[in-house]
Amino acid sequence: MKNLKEFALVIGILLVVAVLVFARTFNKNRFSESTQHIAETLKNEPVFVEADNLQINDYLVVELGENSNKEMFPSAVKVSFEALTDKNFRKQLEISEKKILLTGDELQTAKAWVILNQLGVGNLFILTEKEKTEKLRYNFNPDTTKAVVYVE
Amino acid sequence: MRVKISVLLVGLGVLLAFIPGGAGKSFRLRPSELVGKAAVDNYFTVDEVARFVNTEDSTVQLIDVRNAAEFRFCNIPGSVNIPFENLTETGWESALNRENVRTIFYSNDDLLASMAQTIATGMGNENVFVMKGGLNEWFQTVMFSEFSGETITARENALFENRFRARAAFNQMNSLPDSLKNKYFDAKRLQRKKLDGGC
Repeated sequence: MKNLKEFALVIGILLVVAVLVFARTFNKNRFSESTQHIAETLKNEPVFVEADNLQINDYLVVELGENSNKEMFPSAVKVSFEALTDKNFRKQLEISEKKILLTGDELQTAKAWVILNQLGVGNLFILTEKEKTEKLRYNFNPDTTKAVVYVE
Repeated sequence: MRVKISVLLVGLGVLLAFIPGGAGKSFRLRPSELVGKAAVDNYFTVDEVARFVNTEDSTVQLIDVRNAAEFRFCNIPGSVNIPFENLTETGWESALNRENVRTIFYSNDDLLASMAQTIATGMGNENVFVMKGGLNEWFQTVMFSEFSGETITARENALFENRFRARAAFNQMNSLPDSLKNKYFDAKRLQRKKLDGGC
């Protein structure tokens, strides 16, 4: 008992720090992952799914924005970009056992992917209409004769 | 007293050890703030970027987020290469947050550039954009488009003139042998440093 009294100040400081740490760690209104996690995820697995190779039953489809593709994704979850951080939506993603596939405008889905990745949502993929997305589809042929003229 | 300090330090160490994902930095903005900023599509078209290239606009910096090999193969004149996987490293912060300079990310398509834009915004940078359509759109519109009508309006003439000039600059830059490209990049870097440092 005497020891406890002696260490009351130390215990008090530790308790306050512990509360602050837990509050920060489990605060849903903060990003939980480090930014390095984005590059690591992209390096470890391909996150772009081409429409032609889509196995629809493997995914929980999330349609972003106004455009809807009901024929292709009848059971898709529709969400606006502004509602990405909505508690109910995030809960829906957390309890889903399927992979999550984001569809919609490419600029928006890429942004949504980064935000959800940083919020700690795993198994995230982006549907792309293009074949071999992020590959240069044109071949540049250097014009060395012109280059010589320009250098002169 | 020593014992108390020791206990305090050990206790803090134990707490730190249990913080999940403690290593590495995270976004400065809160999720709701980032969603609000990212909801707006901040982009420039390839024609607008072509104009920046032609006028050598000093209020714009182009950042190519493809890997170094792709960048060396061909890139838009005046652009700087920050491979996507290196974007979150601390060394690039000052480059991304230059006062009165608009940063435009591009990759081969939209996805990587848009991700880079969101990362830069999340890290607290303002004035970050993407070049919509990426290099594939640049090739299609700037490098390979031809006017096919019989009469050309003044507006179309200006548009194609802009594209042809940017095309010439692209061909000139990317047709240089690697040794000259390196010298070009070094000279450009040196000029920037001198300008930044003042005299």
